[in-house]
Amino acid sequence: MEPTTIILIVLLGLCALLYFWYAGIITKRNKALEALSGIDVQLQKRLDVIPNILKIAKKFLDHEKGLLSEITALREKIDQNYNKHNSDEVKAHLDAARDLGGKMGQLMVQVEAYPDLKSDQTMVQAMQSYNEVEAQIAAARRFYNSAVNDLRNAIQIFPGNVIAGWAGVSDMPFYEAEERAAQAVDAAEYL
Amino acid sequence: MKISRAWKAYRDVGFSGYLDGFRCLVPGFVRPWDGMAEFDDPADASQYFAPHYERLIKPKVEVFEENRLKAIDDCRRRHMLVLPAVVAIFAGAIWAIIEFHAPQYTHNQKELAELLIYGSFFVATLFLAWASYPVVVYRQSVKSDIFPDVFSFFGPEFSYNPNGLIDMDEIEPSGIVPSYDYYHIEDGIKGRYKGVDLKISELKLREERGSGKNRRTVTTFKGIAVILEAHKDFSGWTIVRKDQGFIANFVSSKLGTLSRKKSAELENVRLEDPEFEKMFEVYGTDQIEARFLLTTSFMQRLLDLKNALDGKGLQCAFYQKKLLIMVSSKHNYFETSSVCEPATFVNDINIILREMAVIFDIINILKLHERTGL
Repeated sequence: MEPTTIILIVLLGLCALLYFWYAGIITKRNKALEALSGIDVQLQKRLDVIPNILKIAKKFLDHEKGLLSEITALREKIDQNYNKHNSDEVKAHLDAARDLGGKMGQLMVQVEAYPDLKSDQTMVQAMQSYNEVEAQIAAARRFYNSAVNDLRNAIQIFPGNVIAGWAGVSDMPFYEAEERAAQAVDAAEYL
Repeated sequence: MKISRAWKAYRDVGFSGYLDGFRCLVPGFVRPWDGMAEFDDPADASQYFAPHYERLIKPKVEVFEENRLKAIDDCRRRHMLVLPAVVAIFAGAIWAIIEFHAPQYTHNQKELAELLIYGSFFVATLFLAWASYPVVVYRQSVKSDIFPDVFSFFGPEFSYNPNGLIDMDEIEPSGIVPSYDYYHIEDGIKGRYKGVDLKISELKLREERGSGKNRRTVTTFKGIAVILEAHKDFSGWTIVRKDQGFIANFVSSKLGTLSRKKSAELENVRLEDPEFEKMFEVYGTDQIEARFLLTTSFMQRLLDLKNALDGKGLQCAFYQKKLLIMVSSKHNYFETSSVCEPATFVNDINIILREMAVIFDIINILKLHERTGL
């Protein structure tokens, strides 16, 4: 075989390899975007459940106006559109979702202190729906983090980092747990 | 003796019924009833089982003991009748095997002799099956008359059917049923344990493989299938199969059972637990739903269950709002003990209590009765 032919075959092989590598990175990015959409679907369900909880809780927790206002503000913030291809906007969106989860957790703790509120039938149903949605959000978060992990591996390991640079594919943030969740629980706070 | 009834009796009782017919020929193997009944006690069940036994089963012991002794007598009498013929058949077969090895016989003559030898063995087997038939019928009557009373101990919702309670149509959509050409279902139990509805059947699947001279029948599954009420609401399809290694998983997903069940809908779901990933391979129609069902706690419980089952094959599927668990095992579940044992059914009951403890452990270990959401 002539040297020119060999060189051509090698070059074609390299091009094919680079193409498949590029296609793999794009696939992983799309998977991460799909997972992000999955989170948004579940977050939307959470946003739909929250007003009902706030309405019922307001009757008993009038003095917790600060907390209720924060929840309402966070809810509005999450409900806004954001650019899924902008890493900073995605991080801000996920941080807001995480903070909302934290505030709702605080609200649930407050609800525990009011037996009348806790046993109110509509509140019980609303909380069951909320817990169900939270479980779905947890599952969506696991999927998203798994997809982002795959994407990061693909674009950080050479030559993926070079190809990602050419293709304009950037990293996406993990959906991290609330800082409080990582701390040890102090029972004295609640007793 | 109608052929179909006899075939069904042998199918229900299994090969052990055939062997039992030989065992009871030896007087020393047949134990008389001494009027006592003592239980082992898995988890103190014997204490609570004793009143149930006194009320429902003990009144039947005398009648069954009479039937047992009659069955043994009939079996011995029949064996005495057929034994000369069987001995003559075996002697003739041995003579034919030696004789037709000689070079003076043609190939066709040798083939004919071989056919006659196989035919004569088949006839001898039929004679012996006829002789063991009374024992098989007795053991079948224990399954149909005593076992339902034993299973009713676990609760009023519990029922037993010797013919099984699960249809293949019910479990095939799960995607974890191995390929098969023949199936046999027996020993069905239905009930509710700690608020969880369950249905169990013993299942054996066989498949024809190879062609021509290499054609053979292979057992693709032997064990129990357990259908349970799932502990969460879901709408998709998620399966948890044994991890067979990268290549086998890939081939299996493209050419195996999954391909028959709309494999295009199923995606590989990679989960966080490395130990779980080593043991199992997960596929699902919805990545989020799969993780909703297989939380980190549930994954750990599945691993605990696999260890509790002592390395037996374990696969499960969430589909059509239920959970199917298939446990492969060489052990023959829910079988009657030998006709040589007194008809107190103590052995049968002990075995059933132990085997049901394994089934209930599935629910306990997986915490299907707790609605924690985990």
